[in-house]
Amino acid sequence: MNRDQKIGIIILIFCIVIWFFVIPAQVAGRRESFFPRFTTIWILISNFFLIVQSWKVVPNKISYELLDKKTIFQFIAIVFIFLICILTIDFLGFFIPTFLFLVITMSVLGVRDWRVLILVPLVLLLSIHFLIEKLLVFPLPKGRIF
Amino acid sequence: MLENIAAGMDMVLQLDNILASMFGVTIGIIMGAIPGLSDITAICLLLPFTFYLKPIAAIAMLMGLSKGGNFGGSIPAILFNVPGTAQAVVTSYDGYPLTKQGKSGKALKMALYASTMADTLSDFILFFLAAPVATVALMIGPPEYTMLVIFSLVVIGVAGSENFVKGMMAIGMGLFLSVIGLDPVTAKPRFTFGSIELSAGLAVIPIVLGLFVVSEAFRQMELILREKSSRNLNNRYQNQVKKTDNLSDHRVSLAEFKHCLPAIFGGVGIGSALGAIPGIGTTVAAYLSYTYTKRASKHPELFGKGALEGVAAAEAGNNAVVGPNLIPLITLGIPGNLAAALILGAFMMQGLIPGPLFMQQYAPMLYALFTVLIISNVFTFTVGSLFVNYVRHLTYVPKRILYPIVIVFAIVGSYVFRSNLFDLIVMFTFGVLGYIFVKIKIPITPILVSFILGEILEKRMRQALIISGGSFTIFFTKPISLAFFLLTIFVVLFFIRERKKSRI
Repeated sequence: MNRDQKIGIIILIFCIVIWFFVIPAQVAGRRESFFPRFTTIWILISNFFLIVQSWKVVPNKISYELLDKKTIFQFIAIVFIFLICILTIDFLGFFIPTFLFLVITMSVLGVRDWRVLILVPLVLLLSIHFLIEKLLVFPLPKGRIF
Repeated sequence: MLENIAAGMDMVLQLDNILASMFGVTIGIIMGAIPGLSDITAICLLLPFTFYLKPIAAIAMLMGLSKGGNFGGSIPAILFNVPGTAQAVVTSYDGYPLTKQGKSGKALKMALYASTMADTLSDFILFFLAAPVATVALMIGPPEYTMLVIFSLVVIGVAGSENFVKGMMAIGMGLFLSVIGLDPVTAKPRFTFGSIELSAGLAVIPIVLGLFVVSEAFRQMELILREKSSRNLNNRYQNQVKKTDNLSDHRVSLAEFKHCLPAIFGGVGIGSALGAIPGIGTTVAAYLSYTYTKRASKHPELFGKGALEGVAAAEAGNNAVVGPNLIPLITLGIPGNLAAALILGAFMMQGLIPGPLFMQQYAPMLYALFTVLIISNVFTFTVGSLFVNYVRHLTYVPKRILYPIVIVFAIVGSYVFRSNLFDLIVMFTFGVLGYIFVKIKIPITPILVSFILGEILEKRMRQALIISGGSFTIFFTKPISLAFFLLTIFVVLFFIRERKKSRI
């Protein structure tokens, strides 16, 4: 099974779930559910053609040949750290999670000079503080703990 | 009309608007010049802040970002064969060979002259065509508008995608996302899953930042990790730009400019014609303009080896799209490309709804927009001229530091718009989705455009069905509506045929 066939099956399942379970549960009324059903049909028709097309044209595989296990781990770690950063902003405020995110991500990406690792986040976050909070008076998340 | 023009100019010619335009152009050039960032990144990152500006200043800044970024993208394309934007690929065909000959200054200046000249001429096309098109647009009702939006979405999905089926799927996904929140007619909740945040629907800003900024940052960081793992992290741009001491190699003489004028006018014609059609972007215009100039040239053999006309044609073609692209946006409320979609988002954030009634309700606004476009061109020219000799240093910005910073700016942008932490989750989710979509070759631009147009399409479609008592025949019995339906079929068949031909 090639990539597009897998995508086709996932989208088919998504549309079935939306049509038979989510719309009846989440959308009350015939008029209200008209457009969601219209969009689902739109996706289904496109999906039908994608599946038909995928039997004729085999798509290129996603290129992972340069990715060894360590690289995959590092990439997932960056995405995960980003998620953690966002989730902790509510508790720790804007500056601590983003400072840690910047330091960790830059070091994972290969920055080895500790002065760069400390100074870049520091200068950036101070600039954001003065520019966004002081000058433009936009509030940044404060956090529940600090 | 004259009083509208005067009122429009009066609205624009204020210090804050002019500063906003200059700021936009400068940031646009800087971000366009950094490979991996683009005019779109610049607009996405600064869009949330425009909410707090006056309407004209907001539009001035966005137009400045778009125009500055468009030119900025040509700088790394010419200097290092690393296009900063997709449309700048064509500029690199002859720009980079000129750099290899030690004539980078000449190539950059010709790119600047051609892009600002083409841009200005195309803005005049907007000025003269918008009012007549708006008059015609007033005659269309809900069924015609429905079919027009569907036509535009299909063109955007089909023309802007490598695989038109995936483009159509992306359109469907964007439309589906637009239904989350309250029903636009009855205000009943849909797909909210009991969440208060989802009741207000998904906001444009976090989706834009996720799909276009965060996903791009993920892709670039993946590339950095790949390069690191293959021990190939040496700076790609370490090869210094070759420069000669001969001054004439770094300026465009009057004779050379005159020689390039047909290429510029050709580019303006092609770019403007394509720009008025939604979905046909700047890249196609640049490519067609280049091909046309090469065919018309007495020395086509020089193209690809450092022909100055090649640089002029590519830049004129892609910049001439900008003005006419705003015609469908202003008169019909349909964005022609991603930049126009983002500008539509800015209009809506300011409470201005472009469409057939826009010209009646805000006539001076069109002329204000036109003045903004001209001012942005003046700044692109002046700031570009000043930057041309120094901006190359921007391309040395280490990506290992740049992309984490970009993500932090995306966090700031998502939050300041509504001061809602939920928007950060939305941004992250769409960042991951955008990354996956790019990997599996589902285009992300149609998702955003259809998301923005989804609500208006639903409203008009339901209005049409109420008029017809629920019968779908209303879409095929009205002449204009039927014409758009047939045009949609024609466009799909045309692109299928063209793709088959190109495969053969």
